[in-house]
Amino acid sequence: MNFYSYLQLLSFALVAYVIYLITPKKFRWIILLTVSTAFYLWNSGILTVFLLASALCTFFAGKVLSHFQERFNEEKKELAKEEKKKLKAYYTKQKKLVVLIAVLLDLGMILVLKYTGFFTDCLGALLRPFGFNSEIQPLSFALPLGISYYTLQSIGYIVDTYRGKYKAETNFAKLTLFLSFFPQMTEGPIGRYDHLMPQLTAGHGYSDERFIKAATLVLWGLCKKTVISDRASYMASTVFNNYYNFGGTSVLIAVLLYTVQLYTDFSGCIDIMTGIAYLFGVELSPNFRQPFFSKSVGEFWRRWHISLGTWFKEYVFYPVSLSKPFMLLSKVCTAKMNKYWASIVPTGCALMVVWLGTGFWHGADIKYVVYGLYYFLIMLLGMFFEPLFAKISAKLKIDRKSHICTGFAIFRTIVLVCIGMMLFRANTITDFGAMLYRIAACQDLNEITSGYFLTFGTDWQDMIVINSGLVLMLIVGILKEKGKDVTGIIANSKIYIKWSVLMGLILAVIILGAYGADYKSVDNIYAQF
Amino acid sequence: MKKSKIKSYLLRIIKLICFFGILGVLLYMFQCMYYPKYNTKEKGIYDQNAHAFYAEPENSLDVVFMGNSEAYSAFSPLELWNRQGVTSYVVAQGASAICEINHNLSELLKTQKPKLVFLEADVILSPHSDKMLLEKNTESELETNIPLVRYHNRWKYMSPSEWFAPVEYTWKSPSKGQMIISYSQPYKSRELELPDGADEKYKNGKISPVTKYYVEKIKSVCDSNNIKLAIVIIPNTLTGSVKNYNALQRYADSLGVPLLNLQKDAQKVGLDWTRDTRDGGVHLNTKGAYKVTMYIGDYIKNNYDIPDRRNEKDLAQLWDMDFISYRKAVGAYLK
Repeated sequence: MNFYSYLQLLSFALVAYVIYLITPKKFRWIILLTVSTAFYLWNSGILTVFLLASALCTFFAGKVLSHFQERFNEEKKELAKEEKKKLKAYYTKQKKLVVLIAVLLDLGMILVLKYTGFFTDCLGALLRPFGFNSEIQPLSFALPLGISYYTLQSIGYIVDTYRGKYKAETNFAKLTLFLSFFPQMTEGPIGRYDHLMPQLTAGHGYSDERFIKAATLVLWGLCKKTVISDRASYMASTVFNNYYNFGGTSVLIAVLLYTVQLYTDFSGCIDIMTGIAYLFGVELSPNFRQPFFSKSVGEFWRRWHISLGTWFKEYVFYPVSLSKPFMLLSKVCTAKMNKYWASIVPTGCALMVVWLGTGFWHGADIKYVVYGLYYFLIMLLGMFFEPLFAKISAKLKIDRKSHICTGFAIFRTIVLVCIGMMLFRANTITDFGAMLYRIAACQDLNEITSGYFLTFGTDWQDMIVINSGLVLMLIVGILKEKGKDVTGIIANSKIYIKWSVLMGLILAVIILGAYGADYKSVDNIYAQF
Repeated sequence: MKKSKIKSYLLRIIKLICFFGILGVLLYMFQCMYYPKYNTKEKGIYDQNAHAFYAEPENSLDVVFMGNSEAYSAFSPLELWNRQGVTSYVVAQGASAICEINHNLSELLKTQKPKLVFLEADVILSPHSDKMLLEKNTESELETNIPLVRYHNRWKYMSPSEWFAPVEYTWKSPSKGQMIISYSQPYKSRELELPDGADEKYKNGKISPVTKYYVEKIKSVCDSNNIKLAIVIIPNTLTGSVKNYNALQRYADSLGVPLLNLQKDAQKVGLDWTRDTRDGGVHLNTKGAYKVTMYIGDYIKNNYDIPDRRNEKDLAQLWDMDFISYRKAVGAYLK
């Protein structure tokens, strides 16, 4: 989405909000469903059938699961303990089958639409040595908007219903609203039914404070996206696509710029969508919590794309860790290994499944799988060496919580994350290797002093704007880290402060935004996943 | 409703008006600062060739060719002048949204009183979906009506002395809006007959309602200013499609606007696809533009009462000088 698309979205949201407010409270969720459907149809056209299919599958799965649960509750009343156990096992089996079918249907859609190209490509590569050169052509399909997000929401709902976390939704339209709520459709966050549904159906009224908070959040996000991210993208894409024409210094700057671009693009879009949702009284799950203040890669992933991380933790890591084969593995490890290895091996195996899944979720490409494995390896090594680091620190009497150590840990995390970003953005794994080599070899250090790197679309004025924006983001980040509700402070401040902030943000977006004839339109990076 | 509630609503409305009032003033101030004061590319004007008509003497243009890159590649106002003394101008921008043509026409009418406007068909027969056209035209509407959106990035290049300088659009296009292209890149086939649309997406035989809305707006502006409107199809190998042309013919008939199909008449025009195109048949070059202009000159002579202005001494002197410079630049290539 570019500047103009966001303007359209904001106009759409404002009109929707006015209609929402003039509708009786009881029916406001219907307005949300109507505008969400209109938004989806406008963006995905005929592909909306996939969302509908997913909603139908999720709804009926929930219904059947609920039905089984009710029947079990009914039938168990007059049974003895042993028979109850048998009945429970029977219904658990039935429910598992329902979950399996529903999840397979949901995943089937995304696998076919998103990953067919990848699979046919792999198949072609496998069969090539046997003389099948051109028979297998990679297939690709148009992707419905937000399929990667609503599919995970749908699976989360089915599993939670199976676990009895909440009762299944009885109204199909309401469930469809949960899956298609328009601010979540572009880049998430991945919502939970029990968190979202009460808010979606509550029918909130107007409040000045909410409006100002929502507007500040939307404008702040718009600033991040149009002023910083789109501005940084030009040099980043030029260097990543032609790294062989640049020395290590320019490549390093491009990697840093890409990291800035991705963060401001994703978090900016999330801020905009969170602001829009908040306007309707819906607080979306937080997706970022100052990730670049993290002291370890593990912490980084607990602060970056939080909704995806928690989803994988709850619906992949725990089920895998508690599955029969893993329990067995854990038992074997406990019996045959010392305490240290017995904890590392099963956790490491479960983590590998999670990170392979995370990598694969990002895209149908081997580089994303490697991207997931990269983070898995770092975390595994972290777990592996942790006792050693603790011992060394104790011996050398290093306070690991001191400012210097914390600063070093943050710096180390940023370096590792930037390498991850390079892998994420590089066109191929070979390109990633070549770029890393260029940086490591410190080629052409004079590219900084000569200003050579400023001649590829991102000039010194752009650099000043990007860096000023980053300083502002750092200040806001520090305030948030200290627990301050920045938008709340602005909304409750004196009128001239409120107005100055809002007008400043509007002017910054219009005047400093990287849009129009001088800049290329940049799509949201995470909207492609 | 309680009095206090009414008071609170009124207060909110007043606050809202004040907020947007102050914001509007600030935006207007920035717009005045950033709006280009000179109509040259170096001084920031968007598409200087299309905006050079501001420098032409008032009421000196009788015929205007409007459209996108097809238009500025296919018409040669100075050749038309040399041949029959008709003063014309090409107001065209590459990949132009049709709403910009409407805007440019309104701008042109502030200083000129043309008698005939040719609208090039490529802007009407767009391969884009209705949704894309709506988005593209909305963007262009925003940029043309709030110039700050188009020129916001000028803070990077302009000096403070330009901020509140008077607007002086004095730069004249030496080719009267035509783009001079003095090289050829032949179409792959030597046939004079063009294929029926090289690209499938150009064969939908549909005119978008968004496009129709703007064509009708252009028609209405022409009608209220006593300007004759004609649509002209410039031959090209990419978008040429009988299905589209038939749809356009039906549409032109419904509007009562003549349609000049040079694709159909390519042989009469005398186009040679080995020499008269600059990019394999998508756009014409200066040789192609010469032939098209001669053909259209005949069409104008036979169908409209456009005066020969070579007897207007001052005007003729200016146009003759421009023609001499033009021929100096392209004469050798045209031979």
